[in-house]
Amino acid sequence: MRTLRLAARAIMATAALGLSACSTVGGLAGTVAGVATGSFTSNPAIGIAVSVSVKAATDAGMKNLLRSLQKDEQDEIAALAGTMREGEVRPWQVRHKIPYGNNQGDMQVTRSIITPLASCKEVMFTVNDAKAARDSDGAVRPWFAAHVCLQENGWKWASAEPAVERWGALH
Amino acid sequence: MTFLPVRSTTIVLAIGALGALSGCSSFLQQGAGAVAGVGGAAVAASVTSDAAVATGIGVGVQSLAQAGVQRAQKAVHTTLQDQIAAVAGGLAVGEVGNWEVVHPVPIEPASRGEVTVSRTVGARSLDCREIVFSVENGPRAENSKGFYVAMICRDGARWKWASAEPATERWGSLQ
Repeated sequence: MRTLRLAARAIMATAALGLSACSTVGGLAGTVAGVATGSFTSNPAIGIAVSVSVKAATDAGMKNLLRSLQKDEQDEIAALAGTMREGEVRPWQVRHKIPYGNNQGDMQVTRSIITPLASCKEVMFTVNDAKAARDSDGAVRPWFAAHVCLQENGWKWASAEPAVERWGALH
Repeated sequence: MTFLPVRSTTIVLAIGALGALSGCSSFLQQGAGAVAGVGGAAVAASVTSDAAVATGIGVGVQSLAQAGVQRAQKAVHTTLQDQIAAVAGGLAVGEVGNWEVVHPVPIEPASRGEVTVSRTVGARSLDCREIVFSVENGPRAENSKGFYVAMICRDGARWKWASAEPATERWGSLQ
């Protein structure tokens, strides 16, 4: 029981360290769970079983969380782009329920893509540091390009996946 | 004591199967790796009493299984991209065609949709097209439809997917 409480405390401490090293959380949680289990039993397979399972579950959960944050940002930019005319420039910002990944910047609709299949737009946007002064600091920001299309439930992000040959380290 | 890892394997397997059913490939990847790792460690523990060796074997088997799932996912997406690109390659700007892919291994649901060419890009030997395509997953018509934009370029006689990866700053949760 004590080891379990220890493990829980270690996981919480890891979470408190911040989400900056998200990809390591699963491994740490798995290791803690594995070590905690290992102190119950001398069979390494059981320790590994618990460790690997906890790591898999934590990794999947972490990925889901980060994906939902990214989705919020995409939805925000897509929804704004849907209301904008070609050439129009507007600021955008996203505020999540948890204070992580709160981004903002400027965006511009550069082209409307009207096809018989769907209406889409090409959008360029910048991502600014939350602490940076808006507009006035004159810093050059990198621009990113994306596509948004009008789906059944509104304007959504529509950039398709890269060619498999270009997946590289993404996978 | 040997029944426990087997039971854990079953639990992880069940979770992995659930993930596969819901079409969540990341969970399939994690689940397959976890199942293999647990299985590997369980087998290793029965042949060696050295915990470190058993752990090493378990983690090694886990990595191998994850690599296997990744390879399968790459194959599935190559088929999908080649199919959409091939259909779009035969279309004129504004013309709409149908595409459909049934995967031999049901790692991802069969999908179909429509594709159209929104513009042509390039000069001389560079022959590319911007395409807009829809994706309908699953057998039911009421499943929601998504629209996406991609680039394809002609490579000899074949049309290949040409969209590059996102900027590393925009990878987010991709990795």
